Amino acid sequence: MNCSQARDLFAERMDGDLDSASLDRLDRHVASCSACQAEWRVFERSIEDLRAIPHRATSTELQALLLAAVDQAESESSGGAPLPLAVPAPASAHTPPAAGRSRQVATHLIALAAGAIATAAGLLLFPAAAPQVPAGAGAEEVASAPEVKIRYVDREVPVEVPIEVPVEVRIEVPVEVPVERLVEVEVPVEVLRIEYRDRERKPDPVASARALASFAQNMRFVAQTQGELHGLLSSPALLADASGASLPTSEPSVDSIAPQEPPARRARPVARFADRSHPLSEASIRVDRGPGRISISAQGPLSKVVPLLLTKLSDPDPSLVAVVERRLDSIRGAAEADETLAPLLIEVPVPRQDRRLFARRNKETEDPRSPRERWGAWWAANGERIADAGPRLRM
Amino acid sequence: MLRALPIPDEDLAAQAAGGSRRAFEELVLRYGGRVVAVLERRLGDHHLALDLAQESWVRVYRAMPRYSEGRSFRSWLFAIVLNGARDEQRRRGRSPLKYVEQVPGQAPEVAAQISREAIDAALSQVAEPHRTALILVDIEQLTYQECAEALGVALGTAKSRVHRGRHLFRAAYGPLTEFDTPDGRAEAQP
Repeated sequence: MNCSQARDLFAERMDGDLDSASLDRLDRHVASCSACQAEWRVFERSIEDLRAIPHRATSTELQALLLAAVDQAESESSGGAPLPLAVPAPASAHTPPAAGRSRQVATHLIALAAGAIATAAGLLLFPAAAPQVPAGAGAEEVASAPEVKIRYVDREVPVEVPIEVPVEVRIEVPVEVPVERLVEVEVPVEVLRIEYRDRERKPDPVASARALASFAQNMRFVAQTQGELHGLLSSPALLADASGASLPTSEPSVDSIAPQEPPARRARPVARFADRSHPLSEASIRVDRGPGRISISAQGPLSKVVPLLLTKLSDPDPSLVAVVERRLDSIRGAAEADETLAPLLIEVPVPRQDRRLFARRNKETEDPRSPRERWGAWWAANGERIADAGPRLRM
Repeated sequence: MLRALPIPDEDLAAQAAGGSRRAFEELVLRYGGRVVAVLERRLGDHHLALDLAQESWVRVYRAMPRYSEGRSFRSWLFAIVLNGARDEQRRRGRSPLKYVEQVPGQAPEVAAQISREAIDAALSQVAEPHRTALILVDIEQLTYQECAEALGVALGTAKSRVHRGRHLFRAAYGPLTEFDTPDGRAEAQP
């Protein structure tokens, strides 16, 4: 037996399948050939390493995701309505879902997503309140426990958006800014405001809701909306502002952010995010190891960022795990929601008395203040209570 | 201490075939991650693997009533999963992506020190159909018979693919490790 013949038998020898005659000849050759001894050691070690890879465990989230996919497919094939997926607001996200096994699975997943989106993107939804609303019972009700529902629907199913009254939506977007040379800057809070107003030129609620969903899934963007979505500010400009100074965290101010380019009239972020060739449709992750620290920064859609972070989490380096874990819980669900259940629609039921308020408010046009001033005044009076009513929205 | 033995996959599958939702959920729990891992290594793309895993489990669920008792559940499951992967690759008309993602700022030699990444990097160098056979037998620990059933090939073919895959893997993996030093390698003697 020569070396080539001997090495051809290595793979079979790993199985212990060789007949005794072949095994005997192989062993005799290897014992007498130092090159084949060395090669056998490397071969054996390589295959042992391969066999030592542990089976990948199924996380609860993955199980829920897979079962939800099965339920969804079954629901569609049977011609039934999509699974009811409404869940309570993040503030009451732990409320047990309605009865029914399939509902439980799907709702569990959405509860994860809802909580995660709220945490990751800092999403707060609440009915609009006019600045001049006195701090009466109605305002208290709005401020304390807005009942927000988030509904996911299948892309194919036409959706009737249940936003029938004006609402204001505030999104706080924590933007993590990696700066060169291992310095990490966090830009804490920015504000997005969306007002749905009952005007002649009614904004398309579906497009707006989808834009909101897209926005919530992108950490590095800040937008300001007034009546219609008209501004999209990208993070580079924000970073330029934030690199030397800290932005205010308690004021819902967008004054410190300069738009990177003049906002196009009636520009709709949803169109930009739907463009798969857009740079944001790709995620990237950067890991910097410096003295005494590891810095991870990722950018891109959450749906792509999170799997990358998960990949890093499987890295055996415990310090790396510690860094990623802090972020992971808050964004994991958002990614999975995006993978399976987008688009997302937001439903904000408003108490009856507030509907009357809004109806009155819509007729008032004499208020000379700009919407931003009105919002600022309202926020000064109510913002703290609103912010305290729900979970804090920092990552 | 007495410990309850886990219910065999085949028993669970039989229960699921009979309509037990709970048994099906247990099977998803046992194999959900493994299916994603196999698809990931086969396709080289995590997102695609996750999508395909969902589709695969839908197929499995629908095929469940046709599961014949006594058959290895693993081979049955992976046959469905790999069929889906083949369809996907055919549909896309392209070869599998390179599995290992380059992490910016991290030198290749640093990445190679991480054993897991080195294994995945080496696996990505193993050509199909050897790679899938290798994954099924040496990572997923299917028997050769189960591997053959999952791949839809003869037993001898499955064995041959695994053996060839091991040699290819060793050739790719050795240089990434510290135990395969140039000194330790030697040319084959005639």
